Order: sequence, then structure tokens, then C-alpha cells
Amino acid sequence: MNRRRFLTGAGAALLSASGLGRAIPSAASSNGPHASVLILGAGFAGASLAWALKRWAPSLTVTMVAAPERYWTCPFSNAALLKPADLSALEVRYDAFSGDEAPTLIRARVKAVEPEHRALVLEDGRRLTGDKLVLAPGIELATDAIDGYQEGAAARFPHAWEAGPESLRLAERLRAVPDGGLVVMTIPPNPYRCPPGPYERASLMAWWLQKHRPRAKLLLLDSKDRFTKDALFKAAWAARYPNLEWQGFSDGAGLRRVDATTGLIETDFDRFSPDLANVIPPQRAPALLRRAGLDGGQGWCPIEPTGFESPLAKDVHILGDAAIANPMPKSAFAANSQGKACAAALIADLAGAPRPDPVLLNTCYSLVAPDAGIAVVGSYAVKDGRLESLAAGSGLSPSRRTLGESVTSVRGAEAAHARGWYDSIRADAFREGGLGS
Amino acid sequence: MARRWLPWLALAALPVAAPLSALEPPSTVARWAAACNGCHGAEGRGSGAMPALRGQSADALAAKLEQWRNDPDAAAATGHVMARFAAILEPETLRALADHYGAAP
Repeated sequence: MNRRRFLTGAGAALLSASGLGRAIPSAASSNGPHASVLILGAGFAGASLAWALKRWAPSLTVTMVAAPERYWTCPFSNAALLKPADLSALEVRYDAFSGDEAPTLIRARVKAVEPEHRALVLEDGRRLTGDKLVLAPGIELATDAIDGYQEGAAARFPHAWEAGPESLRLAERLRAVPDGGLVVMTIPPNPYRCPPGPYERASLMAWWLQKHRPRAKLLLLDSKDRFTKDALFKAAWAARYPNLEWQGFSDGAGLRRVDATTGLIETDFDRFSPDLANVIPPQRAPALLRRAGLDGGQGWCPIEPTGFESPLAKDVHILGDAAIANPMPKSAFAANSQGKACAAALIADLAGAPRPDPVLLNTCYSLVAPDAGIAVVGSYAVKDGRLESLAAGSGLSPSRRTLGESVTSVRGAEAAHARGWYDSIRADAFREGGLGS
Repeated sequence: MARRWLPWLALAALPVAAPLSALEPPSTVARWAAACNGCHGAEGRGSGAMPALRGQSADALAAKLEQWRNDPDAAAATGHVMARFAAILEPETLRALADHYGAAP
């Protein structure tokens, strides 16, 4: 099996012609032939995978392809709504991605994925292949799934669900809301990137409005009835934000239609003309993957959980938000954890060894105010070929009732942990602040 | 003709496992440490309120993880929800992780 993998490498044509039945890739070094991993995407999943491969298998050739656009992390982009000047701190500059010990990062647009060849076709005509192809491209916003949301509607209804200039636009629009005004947020059905993200954003928007537009109101129109950490969020809102109202699907809050010309938001039961509508669109795997058939027509890409390999394409692995990895959420931490688990599996595959049991964890911090955080943690294991949550390794921040008078200090500690977590996961995923030894 | 293929035949005579032996899947403790580093930073160096694991006393780390494993609710009530992760560590992995970070400079 491994021989077959090497046969598809750079020296394959020559070798199969030789009839030797054994591959000597042209990239052979003094240490012997080595294998190559090609990665699409340099977000939390792709970057974490690349560094884990270089850490555990330095002889591997690791090549990443990511879009040339600037990249800001989604984690902490909600906090930047309160302090837009902080947005620049969210930009990942990829300074560590150079030199012999680093993965090779190519900034280019990809035109097509060819799963059967483990190949990426770039817009400039180049065609790259690897012994393993890993796809970690993130999400695509399914704006066409919203009735009335045509081209340009993002200007009227900024989503800010990919961080960057959109985040600034939303921050500006929030500041333009008059006192006594109405802000609406529409929240998509599952699954989507960052399950607690809308509720953290709502908390911070409500905090800002309370301070600067005390008579304004924030209305959340949710396309579902339950959400992650909902009891904790709702308790925080009840205690802090009388200006915030949440309506779920059973309340008739499912989004039916928007009108980008008039700014109208229409739900199953009601119509609103808010001063600001933050419409968070439904999401799906990017078209590149769907056009390659890797979603099996489901919108998101199935994987088997020991190595995140696609059941639809051998030696093609899919990580992060684009993959169906539930019960793992589409979070930065899950992507980081999956990148490392996939690295171990890829090395095992290439070495002809059994894949180790994946270590898969999740930690999601959310701010319910600038100085108050809540957390959820999860642990996952493979059982009967499926990912399952481990109850003993999963939990939530305690409720306000449990904490009593210590709620302020504990939520404060978790907010500090959230900030420490952010700097840490960036250092880990993108090797910022210098290479570890 | 035969001469042209000679170098390739020589290479083909090498044991198949030899060039692959450089690749070895990471150990259980290496994979766990990698997961811990998701919150505790590259190589466990920590940042701000997220403590560095690297360089702590192995015994102190092991004692903390043991304490959290035994009472994750108490840990969560002080803002340490991660105690749940200690609860699923095998005892030998817990100790090996403590040694891993404790041994690092």
C-alpha cells in the first residue's frame, strides 16, 4: 500500500515504466525517499496540521496552498466590535513560514481539486500533487439560501462571519444605530462555524448598546430552539442585558426573507425594519470541494474519524469546518486538534503502521461581557467507526446559582483564560513568537 | 540497455522498510501534549492567564492533574473547566505528560 503511494510520486512515470514495482521519487534525499503532503488552507486546521507534521516527521515535504488575501482570525473578532482598533491584532502574518524547518506556504488561488490524483490545480496553471492531499478550506456562506439576499446585500446586512473588513463594517454600523433604535441578528440553523459565536457577539453588542445607546434594543432571531451553552448565555442575559431579546424557531423566528433595498427582515411570524441587521447566513463546505464531489451532495464533507480521510476519495483527508465531524463543533480549537490527530494518522499511513487512536478535544470560550467568560470543553473518541463525545471528558462552566457570590471572580478568571487561550492557540497553530524547540 | 537500469536495480535491492523507517507515528504522550498545547501554547509555553506547562515541576503537575481528575466540579468552580480532560487521562499517560513538560527546560 505504501509502495503504491510512492509510485504516485514525482518519479512514478519513470518507475512504472521500469517495471521494478518500487518507487524512487525524484525528491529522494540523502535520508532516502520521502513522502509529500499537500494541504489546502492555512487556517487553524491546515497550519496546525503542517507544523505537527514537521514536528513529528521532519523529512516529510509539507506544502500548503492558501489564498493570497489577508487573513484575520475569527476567534476574538467579536471583541473587536467593541474596539475596532484591535482588529489589526487578529491578522495572521505567517512570519514563521519560511526556512528549511517550516512548511512551504504558497499564496495562490486554487481553481480545482482533483481527488483522484490528490491534486490541486492553481489559477496560474500550476498543478500540485502529494502522496496525501489534505483539504482544510473553511466555509462558504450560503447567501443564496436566503430569499431576497442578492449580490450586495452584505453591505446592507453585514454578516462579519469571516473576520476582517466586514468586522469593521459591522462595528461602524453598530455605532450608527440611534438611541432607541433596533438591532436585529439572524442566526442560522446548525451546522455553522463557531456555534457559540452569535451568542457571544449578541452579548458584546448588548453590552455596547447598554453603555452607549441605553434605549436601543437587540433582537435575536434564531432558526433553532437550543444552542450551545444556552442556559449559561440566557442566565447572563437575564442578569445583565434587559435590552436583549432572544426568539427561537418555535417562537416563529425562523428567517423567511430579507429585502436588501428596504432593509426588511421577515420571519415566519413577523416583519422587522431594524436600524441594523446582522444577518448571519447559513453555511456549507466551499464550492471547490463540492464540485469535486467530496460532500456527497450533503453540503458538508463526510470523513472517517481515525484519520479524517474522505470515504469518497482515498488518501484525501478533510479537516476543520468543511468536514462533518460532529459531535465536534466547527471551532478553531477543534480544527487545531483535528490537524494534530490527522498528522499522526498521515505519518502512520505513510509508514505503513496502524493509525493511533486520535486525541480529539475541544475548548470554546465565549465572552458574555468584556470581563466575563464562560467555557465548554469536549473530548471525543472513535466508537464503531463514529466519533462520540466522552461524557467524563466534557463539561461546562458552572451556573450562576452554583457559583453564588464567586460568579464575578470565576467569570472574570475565564475571560482572562479566554485571552490567554487566544494568544496560545495562535502561537501553537501559526508558530508566532518564534519556533519551539 | 541493461546498463541504463543498473542504478535502479541497485536501489531496488535495498530493503523496502529502510527508507520508511524515518517515519514513526508520534507516541501517546506526544499526541496528548500536542492537544494540551492547543490552549497552553506552542510546546506548552503558555501565554497570559493560560499557564506555561513546560518547565513546571513534574510532581506538581501530576499532583494538580490528579486533584482535578478526582474532583473536576471543584476545579470548574474555580474557573478550570479543563479539569474534565484530566478525568479521561489514563494514569500512566497523566504521569508521562507531567514528566514530558517537567523535563523540558
